[in-house]
Amino acid sequence: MKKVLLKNIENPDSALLTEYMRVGGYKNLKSAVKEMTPRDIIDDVKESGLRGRGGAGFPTGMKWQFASMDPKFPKYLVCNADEGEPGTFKDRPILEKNPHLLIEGMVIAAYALQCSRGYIYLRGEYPQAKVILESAIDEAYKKGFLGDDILKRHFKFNLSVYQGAGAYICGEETALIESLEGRRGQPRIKPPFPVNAGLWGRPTIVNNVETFANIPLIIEIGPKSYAAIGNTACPGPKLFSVSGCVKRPGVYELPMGTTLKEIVYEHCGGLVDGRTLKGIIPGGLSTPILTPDKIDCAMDFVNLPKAGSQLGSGAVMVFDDSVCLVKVYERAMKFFEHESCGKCTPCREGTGWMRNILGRIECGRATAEDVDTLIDVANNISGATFCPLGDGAAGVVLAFVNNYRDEIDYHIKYKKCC
Amino acid sequence: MITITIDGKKVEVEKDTTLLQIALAKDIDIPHLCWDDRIRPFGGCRLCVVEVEGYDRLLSACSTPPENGMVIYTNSEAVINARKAVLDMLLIHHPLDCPVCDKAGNCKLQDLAYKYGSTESAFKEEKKHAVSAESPFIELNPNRCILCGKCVRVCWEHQGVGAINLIDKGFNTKISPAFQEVLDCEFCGQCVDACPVGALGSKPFKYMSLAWFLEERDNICPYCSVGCTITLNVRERRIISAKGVKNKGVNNGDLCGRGRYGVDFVYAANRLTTPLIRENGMLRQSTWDEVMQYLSIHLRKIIKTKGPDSIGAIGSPRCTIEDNYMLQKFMRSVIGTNNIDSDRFGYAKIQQAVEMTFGLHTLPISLNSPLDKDVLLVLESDITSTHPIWGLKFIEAVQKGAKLIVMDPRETKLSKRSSKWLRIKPGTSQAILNGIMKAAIDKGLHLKNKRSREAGNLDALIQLLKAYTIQQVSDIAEICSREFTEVIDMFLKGERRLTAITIGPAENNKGLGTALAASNMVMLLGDGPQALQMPATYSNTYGMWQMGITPDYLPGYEKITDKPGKNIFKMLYEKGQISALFIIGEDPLITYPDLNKLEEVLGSLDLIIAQDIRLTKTAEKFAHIVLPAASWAEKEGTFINAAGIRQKVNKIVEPATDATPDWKIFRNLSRAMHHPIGMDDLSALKEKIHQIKLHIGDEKWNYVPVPYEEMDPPDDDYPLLMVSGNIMQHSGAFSVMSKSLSHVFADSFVQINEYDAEFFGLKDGDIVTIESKRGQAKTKVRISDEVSRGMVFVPLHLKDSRMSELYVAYEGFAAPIIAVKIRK
Amino acid sequence: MENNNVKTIRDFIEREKKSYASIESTVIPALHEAEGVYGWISPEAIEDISNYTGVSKAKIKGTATFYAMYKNKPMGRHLIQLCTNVVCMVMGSESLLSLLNERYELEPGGMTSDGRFSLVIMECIGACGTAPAMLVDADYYDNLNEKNIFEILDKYQ
Repeated sequence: MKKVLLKNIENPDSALLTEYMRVGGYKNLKSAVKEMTPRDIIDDVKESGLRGRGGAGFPTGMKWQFASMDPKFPKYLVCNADEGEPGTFKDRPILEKNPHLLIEGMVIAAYALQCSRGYIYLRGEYPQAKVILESAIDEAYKKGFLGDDILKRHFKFNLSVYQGAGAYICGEETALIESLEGRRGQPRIKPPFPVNAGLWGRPTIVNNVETFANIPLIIEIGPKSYAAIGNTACPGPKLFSVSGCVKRPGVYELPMGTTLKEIVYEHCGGLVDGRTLKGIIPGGLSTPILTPDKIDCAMDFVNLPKAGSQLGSGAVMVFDDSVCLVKVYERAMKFFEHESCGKCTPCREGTGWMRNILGRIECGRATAEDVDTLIDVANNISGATFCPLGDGAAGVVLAFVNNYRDEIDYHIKYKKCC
Repeated sequence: MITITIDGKKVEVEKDTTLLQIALAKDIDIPHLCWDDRIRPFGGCRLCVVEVEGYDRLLSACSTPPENGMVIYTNSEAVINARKAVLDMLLIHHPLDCPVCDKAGNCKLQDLAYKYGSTESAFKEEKKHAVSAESPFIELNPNRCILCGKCVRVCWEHQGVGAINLIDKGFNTKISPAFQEVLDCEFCGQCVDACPVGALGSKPFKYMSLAWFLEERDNICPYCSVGCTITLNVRERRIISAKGVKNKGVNNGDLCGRGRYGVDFVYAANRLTTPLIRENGMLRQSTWDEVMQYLSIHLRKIIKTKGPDSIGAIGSPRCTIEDNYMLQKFMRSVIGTNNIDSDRFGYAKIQQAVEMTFGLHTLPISLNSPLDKDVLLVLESDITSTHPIWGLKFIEAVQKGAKLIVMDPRETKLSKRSSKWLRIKPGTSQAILNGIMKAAIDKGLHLKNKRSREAGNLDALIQLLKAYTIQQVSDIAEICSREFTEVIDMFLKGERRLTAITIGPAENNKGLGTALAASNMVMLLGDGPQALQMPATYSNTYGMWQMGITPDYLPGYEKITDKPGKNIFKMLYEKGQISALFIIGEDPLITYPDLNKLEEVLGSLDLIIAQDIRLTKTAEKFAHIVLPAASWAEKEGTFINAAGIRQKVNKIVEPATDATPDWKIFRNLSRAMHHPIGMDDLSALKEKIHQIKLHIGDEKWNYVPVPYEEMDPPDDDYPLLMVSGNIMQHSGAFSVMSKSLSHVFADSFVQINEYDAEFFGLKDGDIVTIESKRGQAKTKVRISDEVSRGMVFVPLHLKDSRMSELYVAYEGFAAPIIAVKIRK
Repeated sequence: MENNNVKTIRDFIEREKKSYASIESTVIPALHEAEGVYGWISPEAIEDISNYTGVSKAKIKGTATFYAMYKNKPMGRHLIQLCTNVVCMVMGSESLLSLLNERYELEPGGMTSDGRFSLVIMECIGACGTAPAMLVDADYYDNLNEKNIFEILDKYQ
């Protein structure tokens, strides 16, 4: 498949406007603004079947339609570039190597949604991306792709980068909005949803970097051709970031619905010689781990849930038999504990509790009872938290305990890794 | 209306609410810890989760709106299990130190654990240990904290302060001020009432009593004219502590620091316990029999030799209407004079202006008035200090989207929450109002309303306002004319305007002219008197006026046309006007201006009777007879708040030794003088008051144009304007008696801007002499950017400062601000 | 009376506030700026931001401490932010941690005695494909191993 999202990134100057335009950049913006009405674009995005690439997979066109139906103005457009899900590094190449693709996607979205102000909420951990994005935005202003009179069509859209400061929870869209308002990034109550009352109480459309990067393609090839890429239920190109015990980790642009097996063994060159597969986390740390027998599962929003996991951000983490999964999950839980915002009781107290128990199992101080308590606590957190963070933490523990009970029991019995 | 089913019962409900509110209204108990109807739902504690058909997750009732056809279970097995699980997690870090916790017995967590908790937790790790933060009133014990965040949100969203916050993240989160230092706030204590557990406690009440020994008794707060209901915790007939209780009183559970921490004045060390009599220049203990006989003889002698009009009386805005009614009854029928007045330096100006312009004898405010307005104008009034709980309504209005315009040289809580704040020169509100009127006339707004057009004196007003162009007013007020234009536009564009001004006796930055200009403006704009909110000052200022404590009105605002009495300016500031004076619940030497003059007049009188709950400065120095009065909480009676609402004051504890309710003292005295005035008991007195017909006057609009004048312009010798007022924690007589409140600020001080401080070579904490053309006073310097350049601010009513020596007793239109100089 | 630090922060807030409908939004960028000015989020930094945004000090402190990357205490001249999240851990970041401890007596959350380095443990920094990885100040380094980590750190004195 021809690369779209990662087009031209081998070119060391790919982030420059001239290079981007040399390979057809901003052509789609021009045709969108000159030949289409905002309504047409929203309809096309709906018809394309594009689903949000941030993790939840909400149909983008539907989100846009809800926002466009709200009579309140101004409306705000926000790009979620707070890529914090461990294992995920797919947005980084777009931000650092192909920033104009993101900007073009956002300007088209702004035109469709009649937003005059946009922000790219960039995670604090990507300092270079900030420099690159800001210089790309400058270039776009100079060329008239941003500003008060874009392409001389009396269409106004101003864009700037807002840098976070290290909080995983800000990937949740309402927490992100709180953070953009200058406060602690604690999630807000929904409803109202951001599409109706987001930033400063105004309709706000929050989309992931990769989602915006898909927009120019939909304009270019039309919704029907787009819908034919990959899985018809959730089509389009998808970025998979693969890490862990494979020969060639990295970001791969493949059609939605590519199987895990193809990703791991064909594109990434398989495992290190002599090792066997122990488990795969398919969509970032907060998606449940899959056992090796699920390797044929297609990576999309439809098939992974059937296999007991989620597509999440499409971050594939591969573990071979040299890895102690108890240790992995102790570390994972340290992460969830550290990133729990503290707002709701089950997540704040429960993640710490689970980390405690996993820590005791890892260092050989646990009893069989502890595992029951762990399951109990996880069950109590599931479905009781304010936002998906705590749910995710409980979900991955339950999947781990259910699928790798032998390894846990071995730890408890022999006080060491198997 | 939509229909939902809760626990099998179909109910009709409003759409715009939450499942929790619906359940609470139907007496269905859903436990909750982080919800409070004064603030936005938070959804954090997860105790209020309920099961809703069609959802696989449990939903938090506090944040879920009802939908038509929703089927809800509040007590299913899943719900109970979830509650138990949440409680188990809340108790992970709670120290369970209930035996030494003041909240025990009144703690929501304790109650819930009792109901749902298991006896053993599966949690086996160490509990966290955090350090506590302290302040004079509020103690923070983070180990007990369950992080519901209610205190933080009440402090910010409702109280408008933001003194505390959640600090750190996740598991390590704690409630703290910014730097873990002592809490630096206004000490309203609202966070303490909001705390469902014992994490926030009131220090003055610490270890005083466990909850189950306390009896709760409601009373009306003795401080300002809002008239909040405070719930007193009483143990063995002694007041231990005070709190606000949801759904009670005009305050609906809100309280300020004075109300919460200031009621201990009842137990002040300087309370009077017996009558005193002056002998050889010294006051000595006496008995009621002795003083009554003495008074009877001497008063009759003065009436006989010098006539009844040589005797005068001053009533008290802190006494009940029963007390004040009896005072005027005693003076008018037993003595035979109308020489009755009260502190004329504050609310009297409002009364006067209201009568001159609207033709009304009284104009109560409405406590909810800010809430339905779209633009609020506050002129040189620190409402959240003088009327704290009414002030909260302005903050609430801003939260709801109203625009708030503040004109004040001082930074106040409202200026911080305003849409626009102009730092005008002190005392120029009147010029500002004239400027707004001029702009309105230029826009033709005065022609829009028939009443505005037809009100008397319009031409004279238009004529006067010619001199008040935006530029001229900006020059007077020392503000930028462009900003002033913006503010005028913002105000005049409002569809529902409100203007608020306070004029308390301690505030010298507004005068009769200010109140008149504001009245002129609401008439000119066609908004009418209801759009002007000028509240009475103290708990019963309003009631005192209604009871005729004034030389020219009988009870019920009935105007005396034949022979009005002498007012305070005559009685206290002109020698030879009277020879005997009855002072009830006032301490003129501390709170009245022009101290030197006052001392001269008081020193010349033949008989001064001071009736009070404590030995006042005036009594100590000048009184011949001192009568001990029962304090608030030791007697029954009635206060009328600024909104004109009559509220019953309850007797909670027994009076200090011989102290007697004021009304009873007058009854006894009239008996001793062989001139009984009836009303032998309280019910007869109340019946009599009940029968008073109110003459509120016929509303007839009449403009009273008054040019802006500066009473005492600053010059090279006296370069600074001195503004006086109250601060959050002190409002005069009672607050300085309170041990807790005096703990925060006891000594007087003067606030000065850092630029001026540098110019005059002053440092924080320097003891300085402030001098005006009339006198001088010593006090301590506090450098603060709350005041602007060219001014200083002094809180009045703090003890031993002789600040009032600097002031002039002034009856004119201008604001009685004085120019001063400061030297070390 | 106004020193340079105060002026820098005030000017920054004045400039930034045009981008947002509410001045409170400038708190997070201003905290980044103040960190540059004061070296960390000092009480003065919080006072300054509070003065020019009107947001209370407790609110700003609450915001500052919510985010892991703000320096809420004084730190060394260079800040090493080493990722130890799952993939970096599996790829060997733990041994790098012990090496840092051996060479510089540097503990997570701590500072070297000469004030040269501070070390902070990071959650995922988005370099899992080239793990283990770290940030030194604002520079990215990945594919770390026991040898190249010191070559890199030698550049930071």
